[in-house]
Amino acid sequence: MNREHLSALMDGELDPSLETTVWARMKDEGELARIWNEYHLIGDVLREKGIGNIRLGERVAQALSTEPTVLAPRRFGVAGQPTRWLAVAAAVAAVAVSTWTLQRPEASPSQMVARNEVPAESPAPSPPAEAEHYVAMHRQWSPLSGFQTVDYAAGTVASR
Amino acid sequence: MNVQLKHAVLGLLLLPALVWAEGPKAPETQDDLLAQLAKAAQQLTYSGIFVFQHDGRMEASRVIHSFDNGQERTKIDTLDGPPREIIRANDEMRCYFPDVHSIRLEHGQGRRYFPALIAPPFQNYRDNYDITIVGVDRVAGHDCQVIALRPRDNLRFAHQFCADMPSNLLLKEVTLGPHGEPIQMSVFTEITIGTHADPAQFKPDYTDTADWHVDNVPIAGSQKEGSGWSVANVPPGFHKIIEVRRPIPGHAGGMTHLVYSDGLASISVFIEPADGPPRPARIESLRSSLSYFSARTAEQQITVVGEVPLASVTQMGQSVINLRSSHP
Amino acid sequence: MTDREIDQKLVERAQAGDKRAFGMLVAKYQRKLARLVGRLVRDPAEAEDVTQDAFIKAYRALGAFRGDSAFYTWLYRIGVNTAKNYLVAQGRRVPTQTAVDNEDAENFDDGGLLRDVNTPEAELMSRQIVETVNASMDALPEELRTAIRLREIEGLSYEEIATLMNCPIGTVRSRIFRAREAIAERLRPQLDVSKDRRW
Repeated sequence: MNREHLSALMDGELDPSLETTVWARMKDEGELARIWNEYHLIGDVLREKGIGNIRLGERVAQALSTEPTVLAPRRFGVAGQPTRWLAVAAAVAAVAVSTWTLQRPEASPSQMVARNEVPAESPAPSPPAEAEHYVAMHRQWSPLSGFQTVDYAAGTVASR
Repeated sequence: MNVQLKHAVLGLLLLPALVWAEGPKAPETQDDLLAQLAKAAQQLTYSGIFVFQHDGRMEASRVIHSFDNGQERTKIDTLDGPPREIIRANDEMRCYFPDVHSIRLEHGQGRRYFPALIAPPFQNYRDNYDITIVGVDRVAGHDCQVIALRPRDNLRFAHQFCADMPSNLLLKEVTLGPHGEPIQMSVFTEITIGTHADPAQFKPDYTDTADWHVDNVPIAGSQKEGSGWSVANVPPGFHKIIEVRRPIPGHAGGMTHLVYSDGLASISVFIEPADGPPRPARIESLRSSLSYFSARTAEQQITVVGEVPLASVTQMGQSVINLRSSHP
Repeated sequence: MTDREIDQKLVERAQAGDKRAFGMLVAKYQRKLARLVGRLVRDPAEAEDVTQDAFIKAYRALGAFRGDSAFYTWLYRIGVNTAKNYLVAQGRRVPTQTAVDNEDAENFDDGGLLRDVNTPEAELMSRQIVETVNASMDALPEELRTAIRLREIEGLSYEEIATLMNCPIGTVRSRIFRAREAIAERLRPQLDVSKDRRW
């Protein structure tokens, strides 16, 4: 099994002609499930999610092993495809709308100044240190930025 | 508090919105709406406190603004962090930096601060944003109309304004990220609009400045021509608004800082001499609101920062050229 | 294949008796669900138990999952109900003012609350993993680091990344994979303590 295919599959970017093979391999090779787990863990760490107890998945696996295997009749044929696409579109639309209405559960006083709150914790990791220097210079010329960052070393205007 | 000042403060409290007593006409076109927003920020007298929220931080400032006999005056003081004071009378701007005992004096550089986010020409906004009034809201106790500026491409972010009714003064600006999520915001938490302001209110807080260093920034355009650095592939609607030269110790040429704007969003391009081998581009979002591009060519370090999507800073960074020399 | 279609595929396989497929869904969503549960059930050890319980309930109910909603939406509701039932059974107050009652809140992300409510042992391990991932990122060549960052943090498609990085889509695919492998390689010694407990 090509791990690169698994990586692309995770991202929803696998060539459709390869999908059948990859799914079939995945069924047979336990190794792939482990790699799947690792790649998802890396993604969560990079997005700075709290990763919690790393052993939780294993605990669930152990608990599952004593569960009787679920067997459900197949419901999703090729015929169901168009409806599913609609559902996906609806889900995407719901996400777009909902981001406007989210309320943070524990807003700090500084966030309560208005309704459209700017997230207090941002998902991206810390910017490179050298970027701060450029950001400070940029903000001096951006009317959308606050002016606290006005820097004494302004430079000279060379042309307009 | 002297008597004059007391009267001025009383005036602020007792005479709200007199300026607009006759009531403005409803805007008939987008240009009318934009012109009214620009005119309100320039020609109304107002005072209040606004906050700028970004990346989980909040910075508050106090602003007083007046327009009297064609004279525009602004005074802004930061309330958080290091004290800063800006006093502007028409084209002259003084920035006070009490922590370093310095004053910077600028003429005619056209810097703008909230709530003066809109300025002519208005064509630019119309070309790049779909502008609609989408509802009403309430900000700092004032009813306001919500104006959506939706970008016509994916090279800039959407914005939402809330403009006081009926004065059209901007009370709130929210920049929305790629998924419609708020990423930064300026908003008044308290404001009084329309009244007479006493000129004494625009005196600097710092009077004992005899031994402060005064940095007189030359009048724009009086310097020799620019460095020749430019961007070949600028996203539609963005125009260069200024080129700033910044000294770098040990390098005669220094750093060139180009600022592009589409009227709302700005993109800064920094070009500085670099030693060492070329490096591939680094492209990323800085926290939530700014995009960052950094790459090294054979001789230059190119850095681009702006409150725009990643695609815009990348497009700019990859097309930096020098019109004057053989630089790549 | 969209993210939702991938989940659907795994659900179908689990419904056909492939437990490992359900395990892959657990692997994918365990941290997200644990964060959600942790917001309701504050005690870290209890929250872990409730999360595990929610996954087992989901597995048992899997035959009834029809794909009308996204898998995580469905799992999310089970997680919230399991946590609420647990609090009620304990005679404790069920939070009402949190966002968890709202279906929209499944998109809500409070970035790492669980870090504050971890058991000490899990906390240590969690911190080591974060350090390893960050150190591995720093050691990556810039083009690999940029590629995986644009994918995992910015959430861009391969096509968008190809445009930004000015390279073919195949190169993007390869860079993201190489980045993941390089990081996973350094993580494995930390994760491999219990090879016998694999799916």
